[in-house]
Amino acid sequence: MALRDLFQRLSQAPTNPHAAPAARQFDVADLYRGPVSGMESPGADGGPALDEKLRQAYFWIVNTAIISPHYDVEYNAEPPPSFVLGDSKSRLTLPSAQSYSSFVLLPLLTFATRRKCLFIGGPGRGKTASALLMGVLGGYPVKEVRRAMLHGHPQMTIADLLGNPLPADLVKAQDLKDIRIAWRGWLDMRVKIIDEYNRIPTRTQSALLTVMGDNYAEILDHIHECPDAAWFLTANDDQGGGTYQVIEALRDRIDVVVQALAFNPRFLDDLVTRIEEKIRPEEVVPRQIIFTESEVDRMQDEIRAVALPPEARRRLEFFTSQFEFCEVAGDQFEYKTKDTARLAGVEWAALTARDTGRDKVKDLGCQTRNGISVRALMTLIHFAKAIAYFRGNPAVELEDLRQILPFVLFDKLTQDVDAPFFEGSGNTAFRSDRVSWLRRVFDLSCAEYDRLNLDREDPVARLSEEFRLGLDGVTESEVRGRMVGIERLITEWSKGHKLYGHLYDDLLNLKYLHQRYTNYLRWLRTR
Amino acid sequence: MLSDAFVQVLKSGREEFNARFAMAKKQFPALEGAAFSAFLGSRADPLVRAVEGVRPGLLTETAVGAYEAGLELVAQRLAGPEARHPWTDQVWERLLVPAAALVAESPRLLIGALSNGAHQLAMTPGARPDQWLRLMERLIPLAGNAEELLRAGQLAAWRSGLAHYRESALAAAEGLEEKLALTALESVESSWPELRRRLIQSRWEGGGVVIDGKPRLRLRTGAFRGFGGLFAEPPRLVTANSQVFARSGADGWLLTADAFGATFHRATPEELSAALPQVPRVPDGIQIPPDIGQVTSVARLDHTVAVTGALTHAVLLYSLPESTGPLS
Repeated sequence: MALRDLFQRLSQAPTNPHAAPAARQFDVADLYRGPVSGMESPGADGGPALDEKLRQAYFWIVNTAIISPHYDVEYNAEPPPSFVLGDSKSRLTLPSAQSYSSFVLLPLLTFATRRKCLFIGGPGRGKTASALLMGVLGGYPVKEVRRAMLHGHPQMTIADLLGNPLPADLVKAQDLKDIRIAWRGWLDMRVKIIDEYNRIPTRTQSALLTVMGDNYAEILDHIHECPDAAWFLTANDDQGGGTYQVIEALRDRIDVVVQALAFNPRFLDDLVTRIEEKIRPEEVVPRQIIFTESEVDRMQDEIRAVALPPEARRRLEFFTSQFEFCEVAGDQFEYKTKDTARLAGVEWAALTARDTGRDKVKDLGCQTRNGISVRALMTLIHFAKAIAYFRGNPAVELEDLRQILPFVLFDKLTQDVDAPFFEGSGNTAFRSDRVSWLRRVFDLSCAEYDRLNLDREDPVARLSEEFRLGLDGVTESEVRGRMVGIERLITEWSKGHKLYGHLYDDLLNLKYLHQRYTNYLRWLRTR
Repeated sequence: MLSDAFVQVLKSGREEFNARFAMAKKQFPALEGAAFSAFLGSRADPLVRAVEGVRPGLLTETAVGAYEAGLELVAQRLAGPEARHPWTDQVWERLLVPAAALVAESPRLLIGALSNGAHQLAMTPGARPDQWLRLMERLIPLAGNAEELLRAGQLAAWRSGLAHYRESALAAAEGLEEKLALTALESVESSWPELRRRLIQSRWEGGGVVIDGKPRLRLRTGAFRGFGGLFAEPPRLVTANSQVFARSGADGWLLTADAFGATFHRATPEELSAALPQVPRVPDGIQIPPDIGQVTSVARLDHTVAVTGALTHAVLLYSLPESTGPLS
């Protein structure tokens, strides 16, 4: 029987108190909750309140399993105390609201959303141990999680990864379909762990890509469908320093990257206790924070139901607009993108040398070599909803986006380290600290958004909104008027304005609207 | 002196039990081995012995459950020689030992739930933990299993003053065996469905008070902080969403009340900012005792009128005829 004690003690709900509902309700089931742990917290539908359970899991890991957590996902309810230290004017802030450790939070959100998380960091920093904990949270016995964990190595074959055809069948079979396959057990798990994935040979990585991307495995024309799963991968070096270069498609399937930060030796005493008392956190995970399959299903539904308000969405749109545009990459307006240049194999230095006229420090697009993909945006929205859900909120806040964005775009937005921005005072550290860089870029984007007063004066948003109301019953003269309005706006923008990423996307949007009206007008005339 | 059976269980997992005590000590440095040993001897061992007598096959699980829950309670100074209140210890002595047969089947559940329940009553101003323990003693021989006992215990907790659980306790007790429900509510009625119907109909039903269609003073609740109450200064009443809040200085509390008692719950800033005072006009038929001085605030709901005075830190609660629905 698994023992339960103070080591398994959970933070008492509510772990992140929120404003009470209009008329407060009391539940007599709470009578039996209190100092002795283990009494469940009921949710609105009678089942456990899953956001609360997720927070309890987080706090158990932070307070008990992880010895020295870092609170790098900072939230503030009021301006936080802030201190400048050292010759390089390092800033230390003491957050004024509940803040979180990315090394625990991101894997937990990955678990809740069944997506894919990569742990990076030097050896012995707890990457594998954290992944193991996620497996245990998924309801698997520790031994099973350990056995199912794949360890990348240079000789790993597709058979090692996926399974083997039965030898007897190989000899006897007259047809491929007669050959039975002994599929590897990890394929059916809902928490999949791949240790040191950058040591897997390239060919085997391709087979892994199929499982990661499409949720099935294939050997000798036999297909094995895998369940939706949370994936945890580890790598000692994310910069291609593994035995094999990780194929780009595989890297692109990873949703978030989280770094294992250094151990704080001030917590050595806890380490000593752990050794002396033979404590292994993964073996004493409280059963109250273990999730069933249906609970994770329900949690995914609840996360998807979290709203992304238009105010936050518009800022994300504006931020995203900054990066794909490259004026000199194409002639036709639609092809003026970094991706056009990349596909053509144009040398990056030559491209940036031709790109003149804009303020390369001010233009955020000059800091990256690529734009943000649709997949990355979907991931970002998903994780923004997940962190809002985790915090007990019904809608995403701008700060949620700001906090989650660096971990999603860590590997997706490639820095141009030669960009003038990084030569600026105080910006050189951004070359190595990508999390802070991405957060800074988002801040700069929001500042620009505010400067342009786009919350109040956004003609493209107004025109788009007008179009979204539908064309049913709109008269020819009204359509003409709208088209003239679009043309007038473009004319105005063409007068002396330099072309930046957000303008480029707005212009393409205006072209889209104009085209839709043109088609509608044509249809009206043929009636 | 621990029983041989308990000693055997502790010996068999000695290393792990010691590790857990060390972790508890790390988290609660004031935890003393002597206090925990005393608790094991005086509270856990009698339970283990009792279970050995009725269900010897389930002794190990009970002993481990008792060790774990006991460690949590003693570490937080809620049981044992240094306990901040006596009620948790009394649960072990007065409830768990007599309920040994039920405990053996669900040791974690019953030990944890009953200890937590007593603690909650102990920590709620105005609640009556002794009454709850007395009712639970009567319920134990009537309950067929742990689940029945706990459901009846919820009803008994409401009866013992936890007025805020009124609606959910009534809902949870639907279908509860008649003798358990009537015992939990200390009722002499013969029909639980009939009593339940009346309790739902009127929040001032029960508690042995006459319902005669006239406004009556039912409770005086709340006191000066210096005398162990909540209020630093005489409270003023405000209402929002059919709920009554008592403000005192910068603080505020949601007040819930019915025939079985009244409880206060700290209000959130959002609740307080949404609450507004009513005109302090006393409704017809309500007799204000002279000792409260001038009426300073009145809160009227469909079923209850709450009144405060200049010379008291208490809130006076009057029932109104045909009183239904929640006070909160």
